[in-house]
Amino acid sequence: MTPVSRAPETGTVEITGLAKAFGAGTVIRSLDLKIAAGEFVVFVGPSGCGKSTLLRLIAGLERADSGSIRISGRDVTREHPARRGIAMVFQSYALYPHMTVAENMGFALRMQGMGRAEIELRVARAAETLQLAELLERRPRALSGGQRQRVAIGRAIVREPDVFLFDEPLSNLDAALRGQMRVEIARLHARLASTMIYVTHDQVEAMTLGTRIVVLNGGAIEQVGAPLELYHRPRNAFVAGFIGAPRMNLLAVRAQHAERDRIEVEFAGRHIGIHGMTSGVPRGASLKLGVRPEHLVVGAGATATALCDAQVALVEQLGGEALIHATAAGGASEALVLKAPGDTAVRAGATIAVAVDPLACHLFDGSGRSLRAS
Amino acid sequence: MIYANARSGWLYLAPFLVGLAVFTAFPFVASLLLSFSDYRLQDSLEDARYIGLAHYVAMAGDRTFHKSLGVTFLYVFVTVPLKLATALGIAMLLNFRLRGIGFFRTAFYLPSILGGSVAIAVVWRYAFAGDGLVNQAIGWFGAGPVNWLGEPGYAMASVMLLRLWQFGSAMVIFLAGLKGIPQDLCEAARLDGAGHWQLLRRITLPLLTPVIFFNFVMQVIQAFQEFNGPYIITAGGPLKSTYLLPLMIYEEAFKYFDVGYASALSWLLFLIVGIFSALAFRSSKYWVFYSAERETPR
Amino acid sequence: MSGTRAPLRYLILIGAGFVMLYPLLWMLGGAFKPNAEIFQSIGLFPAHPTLEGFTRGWRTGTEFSFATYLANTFRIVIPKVILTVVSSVLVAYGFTRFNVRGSRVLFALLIATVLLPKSVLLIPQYLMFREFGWLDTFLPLYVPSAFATDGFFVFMLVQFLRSVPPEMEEAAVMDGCNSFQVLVHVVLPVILPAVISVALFQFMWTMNDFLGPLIYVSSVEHYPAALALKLSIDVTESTAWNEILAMSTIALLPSVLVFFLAQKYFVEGATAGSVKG
Repeated sequence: MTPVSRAPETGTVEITGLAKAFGAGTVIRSLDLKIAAGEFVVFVGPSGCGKSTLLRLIAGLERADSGSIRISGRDVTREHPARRGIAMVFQSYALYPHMTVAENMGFALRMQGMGRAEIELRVARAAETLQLAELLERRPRALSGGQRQRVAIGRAIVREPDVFLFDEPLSNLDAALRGQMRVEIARLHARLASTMIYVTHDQVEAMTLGTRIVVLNGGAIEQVGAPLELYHRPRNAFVAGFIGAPRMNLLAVRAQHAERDRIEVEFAGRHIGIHGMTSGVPRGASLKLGVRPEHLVVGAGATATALCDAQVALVEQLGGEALIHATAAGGASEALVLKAPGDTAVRAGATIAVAVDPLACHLFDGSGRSLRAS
Repeated sequence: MIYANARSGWLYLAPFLVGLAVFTAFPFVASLLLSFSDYRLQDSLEDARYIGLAHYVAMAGDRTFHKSLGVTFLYVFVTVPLKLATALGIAMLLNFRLRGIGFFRTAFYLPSILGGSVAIAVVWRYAFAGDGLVNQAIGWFGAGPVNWLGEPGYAMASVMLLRLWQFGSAMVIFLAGLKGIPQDLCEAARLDGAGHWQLLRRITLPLLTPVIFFNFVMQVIQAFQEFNGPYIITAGGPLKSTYLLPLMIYEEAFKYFDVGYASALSWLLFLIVGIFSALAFRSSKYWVFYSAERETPR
Repeated sequence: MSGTRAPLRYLILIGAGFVMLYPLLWMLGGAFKPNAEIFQSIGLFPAHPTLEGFTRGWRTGTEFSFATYLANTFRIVIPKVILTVVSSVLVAYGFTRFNVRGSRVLFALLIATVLLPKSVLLIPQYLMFREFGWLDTFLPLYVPSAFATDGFFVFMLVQFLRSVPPEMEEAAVMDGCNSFQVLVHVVLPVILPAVISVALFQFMWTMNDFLGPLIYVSSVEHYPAALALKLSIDVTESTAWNEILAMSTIALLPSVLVFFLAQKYFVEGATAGSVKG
């Protein structure tokens, strides 16, 4: 299906000063966000961070307390959901059980008063894109989970919206199916080139699907950026801990030395110098050193500086790789997780030397803010 | 979906609001006012005279009223426990993968569907008549015929039996409640060594208390309003032994045309039911155990 | 569970079931017996089956046949059921899908009307309908149902609706429906089993209603079957039992038919409102 030629602003979303409270609790604090046409933006964050609420505000299923939402250049803050130029795919698919697949997909168009021929045409096209053509006369209860999900997506496609909204669409599927559908959604985006806003709590989906990720926490945006940018340059400890699995190791360290763009910290008796940091950190300050499990090395490496010794508590064998859970010797006995190749000889109970490339280190101050100079 | 537009909500609720005002609230208050007035049914409304609490005072001295009140309480407090116990017992017997569940369901539930009808009350009257079904059945066992409809105690028994016969509706609700008890709870208890009675006492009954409470309240309220059975089977007799309050209210208003007195009686019935309901709800805090309900945020 | 106790269980249940059904079977058997035979034998099966109970009973002792009375019954029941269903669905929808201020109070009032003994409203309602000039018509019997006065059904539908996840309706809103279109296109088909249960229960209750017609219907030609039956036992004295039993059988026939046709809706409906706790 080739994208219809569009006016330049079509598919843009602009949110200004959006806020929403339920009863006494604020769920969204004054939020600003700009989404360009054709982007695949993922809202991600822990439960209760407000990502679903934000999506529903954009959809029009909730009314904002303040702020404005513009879609395709139009102010839709007070508009009925059906007139915002959007379509939504629900977590539970929300298919109409008493209608066939074809009727489900054509319902919105029927409500719009479209002619039957046109409806059939659009439904047939969408069904072909999603390989639903043979299922058009079936009822939802006769479909598998993956098929139902595709019908839900098909229902959105036929409306040819400017923006697609996805509310955790893969959460109800089993792991294998989830991986498959993830690829299908990515392909769909490539084909339609429409703006898509996708809510998930799964950071793997966020990393693989998004052109940009919005990390939300407590109703506010922690960071917005491309997946790899969030991975390499997290703005604070929260984002650093949320993106990437297994979680980044955060170790309590003390600042020894702060020069122009280099901070030297002390951990378990050893010193490490980290470049690219802001200055102005007092000596003796308590900081957090962040290192991802995949950047910790057992023994020594070419670019690695010795970090500490550690006692191995458990080795999780995954086949291609292994996760080593260890406790750092000295200091506060912090827990460490390292990634090692699957054929590692490390066993539980062994003592290992842990090293790290200082270039892969992150530093965060007492309030969790990254000390990286931007 | 909760619609933000509350105004449409009022539109949907409008029929209820009108009905509440016109057919419930207004008659409710009017009934109270009538109970304070002297008014004959055939008169026009302007002729109603205010007489204060005279009717209620009269009730205190009215022997017929005392009798009616007494038999009403007797009726309620005998039939409700018996009916609930039977319903629960049969429900527990049925709570297994039984064959022929359709037959049992028909046999036990159909009576409660038909039992409130005039037709069944008529059949009951003939069944308990001198040479009717019941006496014939008793005769088969060798006992003498009983004057069911003519003797005060037996007349009440025949009316009570009609209500007991209709335990099916309560049974169906108990059955659903029993099926709602998670199987893993029972299995865990059995693994812990619980025997049959212990399972019943410590798991089944406590988890059933919401259903028991619901059935109990509904049955008592219905029992206090019983009319068809006593009216048709025994016409309130003999000697007013089945003259339940609803019958008395009906006759005072539509046979003796004393609308004021009838209204006072109906208000008394309301107070009785109201006090009972309040007590029941208050006490429910102590013995009704609601399992934790999971509330989804949206 | 315990295989050894199963025979005992079946024995008790079959015995109890038989005892429960016996009055109905007796009625049926007696309807087909010639009058004298009813007193002679307790057996269920007529030795000389005959239809005379039905043919004589049908004619009743009055100037109208039983057909008139049955027709009157349906003239009450059908409007009442339809009005109940429509108003209960609308009101239940209003309670569950809208944030109306004070809806909690209203819902508590709804429950209060269910628990209220109707005898306290009886007399003033009668006087009110008398003022309207509705005596000896069927209007007082079904017009109130247009206003959801049978709160139990609203309660039942509310409980059912609360368990329906709202996403489907949200999807319908996103597809362009207003609240009424959502109700008609999406909600109604989904709650249809509960609605059918409401219709069935109201059908049964209204078929059995006696006090209502008793106080409002005065002329014999408007008598529903319930009043006609009562009339015939007053009139017929104690002799023609087979006629009485035959008429009772006919009067019960619609309810029995509906029961057998729609058994599962009865059972599911009866439990819909109660088990949630």
